[in-house]
Amino acid sequence: MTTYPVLTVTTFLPLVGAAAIPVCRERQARWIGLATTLSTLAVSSPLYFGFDKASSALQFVEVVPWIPSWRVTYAMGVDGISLPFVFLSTVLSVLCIGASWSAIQVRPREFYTAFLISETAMIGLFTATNFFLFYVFWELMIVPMFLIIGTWGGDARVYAAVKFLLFTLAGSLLMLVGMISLLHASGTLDFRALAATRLTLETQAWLFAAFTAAFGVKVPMFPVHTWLPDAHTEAPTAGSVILAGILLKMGGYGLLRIGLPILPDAVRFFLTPMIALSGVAIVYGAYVTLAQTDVKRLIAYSSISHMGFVTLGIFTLNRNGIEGAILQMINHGIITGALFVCIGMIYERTHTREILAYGGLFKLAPVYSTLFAVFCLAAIGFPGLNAFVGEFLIISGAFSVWRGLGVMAIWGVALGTTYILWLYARVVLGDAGPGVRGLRLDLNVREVATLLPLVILAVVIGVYPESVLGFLRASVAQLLTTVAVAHDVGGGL
Amino acid sequence: MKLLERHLEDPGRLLRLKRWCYAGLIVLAMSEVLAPRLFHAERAHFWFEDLPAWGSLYGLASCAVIIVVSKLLGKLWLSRPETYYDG
Amino acid sequence: MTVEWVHPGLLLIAGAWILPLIRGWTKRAVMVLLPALALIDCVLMKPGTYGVVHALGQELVFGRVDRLSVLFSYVFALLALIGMIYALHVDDDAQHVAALSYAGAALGAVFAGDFLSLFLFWELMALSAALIVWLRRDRGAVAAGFRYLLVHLFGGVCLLGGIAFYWSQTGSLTFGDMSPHAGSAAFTLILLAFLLNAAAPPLGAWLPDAYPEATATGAVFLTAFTTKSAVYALIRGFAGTDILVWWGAAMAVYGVVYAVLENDARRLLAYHIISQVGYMVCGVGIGTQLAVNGSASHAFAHILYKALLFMGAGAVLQVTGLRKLNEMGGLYKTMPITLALYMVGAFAISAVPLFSGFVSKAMVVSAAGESHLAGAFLLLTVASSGTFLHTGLKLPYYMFFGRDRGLRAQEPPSNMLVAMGLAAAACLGIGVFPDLLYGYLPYPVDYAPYTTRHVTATLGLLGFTALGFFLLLKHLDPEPIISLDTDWFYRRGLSVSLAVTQRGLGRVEHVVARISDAIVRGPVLAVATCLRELDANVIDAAAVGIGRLTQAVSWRLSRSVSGHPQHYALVMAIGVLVAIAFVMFGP
Repeated sequence: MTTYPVLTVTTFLPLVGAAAIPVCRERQARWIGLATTLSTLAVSSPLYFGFDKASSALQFVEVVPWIPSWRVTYAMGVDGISLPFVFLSTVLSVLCIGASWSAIQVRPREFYTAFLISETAMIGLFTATNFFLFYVFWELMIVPMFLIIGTWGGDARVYAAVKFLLFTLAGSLLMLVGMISLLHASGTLDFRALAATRLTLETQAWLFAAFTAAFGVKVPMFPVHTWLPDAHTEAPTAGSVILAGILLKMGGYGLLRIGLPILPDAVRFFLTPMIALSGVAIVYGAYVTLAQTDVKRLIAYSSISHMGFVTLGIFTLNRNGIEGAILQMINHGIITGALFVCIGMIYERTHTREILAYGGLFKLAPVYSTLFAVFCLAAIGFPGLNAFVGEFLIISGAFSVWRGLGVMAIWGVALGTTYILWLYARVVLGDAGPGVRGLRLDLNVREVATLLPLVILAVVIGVYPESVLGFLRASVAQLLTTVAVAHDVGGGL
Repeated sequence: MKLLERHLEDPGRLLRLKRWCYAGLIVLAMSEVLAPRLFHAERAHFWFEDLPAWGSLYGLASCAVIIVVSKLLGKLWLSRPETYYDG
Repeated sequence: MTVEWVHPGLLLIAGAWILPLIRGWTKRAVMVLLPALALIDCVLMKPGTYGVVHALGQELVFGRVDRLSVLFSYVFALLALIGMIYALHVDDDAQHVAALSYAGAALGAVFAGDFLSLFLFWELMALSAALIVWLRRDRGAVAAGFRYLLVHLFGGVCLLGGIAFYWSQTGSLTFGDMSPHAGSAAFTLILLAFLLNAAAPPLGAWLPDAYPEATATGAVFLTAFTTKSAVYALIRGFAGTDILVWWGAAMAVYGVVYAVLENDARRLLAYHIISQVGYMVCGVGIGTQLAVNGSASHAFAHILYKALLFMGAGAVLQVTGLRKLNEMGGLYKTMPITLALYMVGAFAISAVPLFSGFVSKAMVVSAAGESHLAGAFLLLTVASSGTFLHTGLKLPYYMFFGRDRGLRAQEPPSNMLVAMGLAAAACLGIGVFPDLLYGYLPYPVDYAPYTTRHVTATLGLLGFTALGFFLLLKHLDPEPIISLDTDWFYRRGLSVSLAVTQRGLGRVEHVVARISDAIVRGPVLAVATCLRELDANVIDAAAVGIGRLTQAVSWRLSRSVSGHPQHYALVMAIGVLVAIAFVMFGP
């Protein structure tokens, strides 16, 4: 047992750092940011070493009564499903500080403050065990992201930030309404207790519609995905990494934490349209990605396709699919985060995102080209790297439900291969394009140090997926019994 | 390779070489017809293998057909200038 | 601790990374030592199942050692050795690492006992082969390598789909005979993936596209591994699949037809690979023991003589810098040894008696005969004639003889000649002593290639093909053209369809964005405007109104204050009387 409340400290340490920044000098802001995120990572390490993988119960629980008259408690805890996301949040935060080190020149104090507040919100969301706390952190996330996109972003940043704000707020308004009705219907807001209650199908259906609107916007599911390309493209590198790496996963996590266990009958009622939308997201997202000429936009659209895989995996309601979906969310966070960091590094030097302006980086920046190649191979789903395992699990899960889904998933993988290879060929191979000639392009030590942990993670998870799957297993099994669907056929893990 | 050079460069020698080659071909065709009769030959799989000098005839025919058909295919359909894909 | 089994592929893949760290003679020695060690490893192997790893809840088998896999491993390792000797003069570490990784991945694929490890090595082969092509480092090579990788990764996705189907249907990942699943989606997808790697038309246009673009030394490696590991995989899983008989026979003729039109020496040889692999695929389709033996032995022999042919053409490329037939000629005077060694390979591929091709091709054709497949038999024989026509006659004629263009040339570096000599020795050795090879074939061999009928028929076939060649010589003059193949679809066709997709989908995305914008932003902004109106006109107005009213009242009140005390006393008195009345009579 640890001597301090791990989860609370992990969640609020960034906030402490955020409080310290405004009083310091501008040049010190990023150092405080780095120190805070590293400490957060360090402070959270007992979570991984002390976790009991065989148990599906909540661990490291901390409960403090807060507003008794509304039956609201401050309750935190992690299980196998939330723990990988906490890890992802803490690690990506550190790497974002590294990626923003030289990119944020204007008002760094405000930036790092906003960033650290968003880190608190991220970790808090994944560790909250009741709906009220979940909602608080959900809302808390929105403002710093809005500021980050709107202040430090690209040319169309205000438009992108406002669009992000409106879409997300519309969703969270519905979530608030849903939350209150849930409180009325069942009398509690604790996730475990809610999972045990059984509501009528009608209630569930309305609640599901409300929550799916909120989570669907975040994931994003087709057709409410249109905020994503603008937000990802206009945000600064750290913003894009957090958006792609964590924010999208909040939607998926919401579906797993709230949608499936609390509203299982509604889930089965709406299964077909949900699966259909996932399939559409995979294929449509991939096709639209092929048409992009802006590097960041290309990766942003590819996220729509990859998250389509994730929702497909979730809605297969079998073990392979859900384990694959969670693993793939972690993988996507690592890979897409890495790709955005790579693009950001080049953008810092060339100040253009047009793919046609690139080319020939192989000769100008060999170290960069090699690292970029690793991440592109990972994005394709090359065996030996992380995404392969997740994709394989999701595809097998999809095949158990309906052949056609497996085919759509495979088609998505094929298209993914095409656009990633095209991206790589255009950026790295061939002759130097007009945007890159004559620039000093190769990476400095800090940038390599930022990318290296991502490479290591991609390889380790690819070669030894048990490192992540081991944590998930028990909790996913328990989730499935809650949803009360038979286990998948065909071997399984 | 001086031997070869001498034979190929000198027209007189080249003509003699060609005559020897034609003779050789006739020997080959004859041996194809005669050898299975003179020496023990295994059963043929198909009826056409028993045609006299079927290998020689089939070889000549195949060669001609391949060249003609391929050239036709090329002229009518498949051939393009070298720079076709460079555009 | 005794080591039970060392994976020769991993030996090559891992060992390759030593090369960048050393130089000079040590490097040369290691370059030759690594494949030699792998070959020794293969020779010393005993049949069994090794390298079993538990992952993802399944058993992954990395070392399935039986007669079939060991046969292929011998020739792969041998070729890796010959190829490295051929490449000793090359100073580019990246090429050596890529080549050894490629060979190692092929060995891995051959020993894979389950689909997942097969897939891993399949993809690794694709990646390392693409690297080999890229490493010539000029624009044509970069583009060709990219196309190669694209096609092969697509094939990998096809394979992955088939594997996933197979897993969901059977629950196991073991790679074995697929005939119980004939006709299922898994069967089709996996077969297509294997055929793509085997360069079966229409899936095989990548081969003549990419192989000529590699370096002289890189191409030698390329010829052996991808296609032959695909043949191995077909033998393992699809022996007896009837459609392969016709597909293979068609392949054999297809390669020969395209070769007539070819101007690039190595592209011509590449089309011949397709033709020869056609024999092997046809043998797999026939499925009898003789046929499978034939495919395996033909694969063995083909690797060696094809490498020899590419080495010869590569030597010419290396020394003269030329690759197109219409620019070559008269080289027999200055490169006689290369010519002689090349001709050994040419005779081998043409199945001239006393060379390796004769003893291996004979098996496949006889198998077709024994199964009474007259059509396949005839087609394969046509292809034999065509093979000699191109590789044994056209190519050497235009490369070494033909019009003397006064090219200054000399023999290539001695390591290249040594490598070629080794391969030539193998071709002759197997031809003269066929039992050397027959002893290792998967099934017991009851076949004698040197029969009267066969020898005389073959000699007649070849001799009269030569006659035809010389009679029609003027029609065969090479011209600077290329021929369209199915790669048109992803070289031209793709950009057309991509443009259509982009415009169409771009419009769809635009519409979706406008709609969701309208749904979300529209109402929100409308409500905001409404509220602003409310705020400005009603609430604000109300507030202002109340303010004005208060002002008016207070002004009136201030007017009513007159300053006279009797008015104040009157008001006070009335107020007291009203209060008393209220208390006495009120509620």
